[in-house]
Amino acid sequence: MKRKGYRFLEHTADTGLKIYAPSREEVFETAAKGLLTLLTEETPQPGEKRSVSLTAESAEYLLADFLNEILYLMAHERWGPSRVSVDLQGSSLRACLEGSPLKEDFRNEVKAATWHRLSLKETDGRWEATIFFDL
Amino acid sequence: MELRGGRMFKKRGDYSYIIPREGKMRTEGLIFADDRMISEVEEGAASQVANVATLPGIVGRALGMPDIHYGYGFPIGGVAAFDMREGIISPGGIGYDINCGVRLLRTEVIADDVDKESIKKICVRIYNAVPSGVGSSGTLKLSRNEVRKVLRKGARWAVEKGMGTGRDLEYAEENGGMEGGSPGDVSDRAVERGTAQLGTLGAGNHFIEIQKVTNIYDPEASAVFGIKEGQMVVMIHTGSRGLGFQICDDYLRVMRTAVSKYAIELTDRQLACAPFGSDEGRRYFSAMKCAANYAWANRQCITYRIREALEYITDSGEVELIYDLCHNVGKVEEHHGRKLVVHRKGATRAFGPGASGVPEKYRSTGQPVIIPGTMGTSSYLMRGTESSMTEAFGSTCHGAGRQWSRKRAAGRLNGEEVRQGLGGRGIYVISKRSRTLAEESPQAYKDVSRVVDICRGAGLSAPVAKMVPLGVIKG
Repeated sequence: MKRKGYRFLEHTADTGLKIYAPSREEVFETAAKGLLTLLTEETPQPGEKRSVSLTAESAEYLLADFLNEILYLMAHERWGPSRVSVDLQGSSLRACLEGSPLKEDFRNEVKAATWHRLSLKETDGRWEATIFFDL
Repeated sequence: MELRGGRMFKKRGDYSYIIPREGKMRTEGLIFADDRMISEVEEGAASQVANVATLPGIVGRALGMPDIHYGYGFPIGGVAAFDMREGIISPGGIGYDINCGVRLLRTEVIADDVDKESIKKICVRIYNAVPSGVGSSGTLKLSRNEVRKVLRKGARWAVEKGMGTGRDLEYAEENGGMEGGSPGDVSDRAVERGTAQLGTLGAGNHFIEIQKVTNIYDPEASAVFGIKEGQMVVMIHTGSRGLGFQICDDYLRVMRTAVSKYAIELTDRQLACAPFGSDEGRRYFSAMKCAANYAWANRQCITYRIREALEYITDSGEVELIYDLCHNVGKVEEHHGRKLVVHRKGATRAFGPGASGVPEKYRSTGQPVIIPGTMGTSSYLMRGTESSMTEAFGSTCHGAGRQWSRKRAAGRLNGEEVRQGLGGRGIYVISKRSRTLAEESPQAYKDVSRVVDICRGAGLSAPVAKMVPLGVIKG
């Protein structure tokens, strides 16, 4: 079994992501890659740096908020991350992003990361998350 | 009691099924469907109706329209009304695309007088004038201050800029703008997202269609609405774009704190809400109105572009608005003698004859109700009914409702083949992405004619006319 990755989940109106990784931080980093793939076929290049700082009531909400931040960068600023490094301390997140502007048309209009069936948990030493996006 | 689609329902009539009260439900649920449709309602969607029934201050039943499908928190096709004092307001009960809606324009052109090449030309002109596609941004670039004016004024902003007439405002729900929206309740980020997207269509199920009226079911009402068989009409389906998505997301975060503050017990966290009269509830309602106003201005700007594009086939240049309505919105309305906070998510207001808030001209017929079909299928013009007022807080369906996920549709169908198939039936399609055509193909949706038939049978709205597409512009 691969140590980390993601797969898309079906939902009648929308789409979801199932993410797995050895650590919570890597779940966040892998989820950002999944979101990038959902939006675009483009591969951003490292170069420009961005940072994201967030606090939330739970790690699950932090995951949704984090993906909505990335979504804002992609949808509004048309900028995509190629490298994502996440640091989680309690209910706070600090992420360093490196990436480049996106030039091509997106393949999906993602309105937001939702809390529908949102989960983030550790099972047998592996972290797993489920998150659905409103398309 | 009957087991349908994995859930117990109590049949109430030929067109409605009750979800009996159980557990934390404060009231019953009710889904408008016939025997066949109720079996096709996903268990998740019926559970979402039951979850809505647990919310504080709900009045009457939690409702599911005939096009109900599985959403987030509230189902798509969900209607619920709440008491002004005891009840709540929930961003999830309105949706991310605040005031996603439909607008129908009538031309004086007989569709059969326009050859296929001209239809294609019109579609290309509209496609070039109205930016479409994911995250599309427009030719209009507004300052943040100008966006704030749009948030206050709605479609009136566009009319004052010369992009429409006073008549356009008269024939839009809420006259194209809700009073009381304060831009101060809208985040800078949401305003920023509104600077470049006015007059843009977006992607997904949004579209502009050139249509031909093929059937008249109610000659009296159609005469009042000004349409006749063979006439060319234009339908626009879009909403508040990134600005609306951002406001919904911003306030869901506010609401998740409010839920603890006001000790609201939720069965699903996507139902996050606040008491309507609380500061959080008041600010969300104000921001929601701003997003709704942006959506009306958006459809008005698009109308302006469509009128320009149609100029070369409409000698008189007369392209009049029949009606513009929202199908994702929250309103304070009077029902059964009391003021209520009505949430409609994927549901259309369908006020009956004599109801206030409907243009004077339509008072005798009831409000026009525009039901978009899916690409390549029929769309319907209906009218609101008295029984919709008593049965469903003056509401009806909003379209066909998905039955396949986008992934499933794109996996089974090829966008180019869908385009060719429609072309073979005389429908010209222009789209930014071919995959969108697969995702949005008619097979991915329920049969809109069945949905309309259930609305008629249940008395939620009455058919006036049917339209078929001649040209489709997709994102």
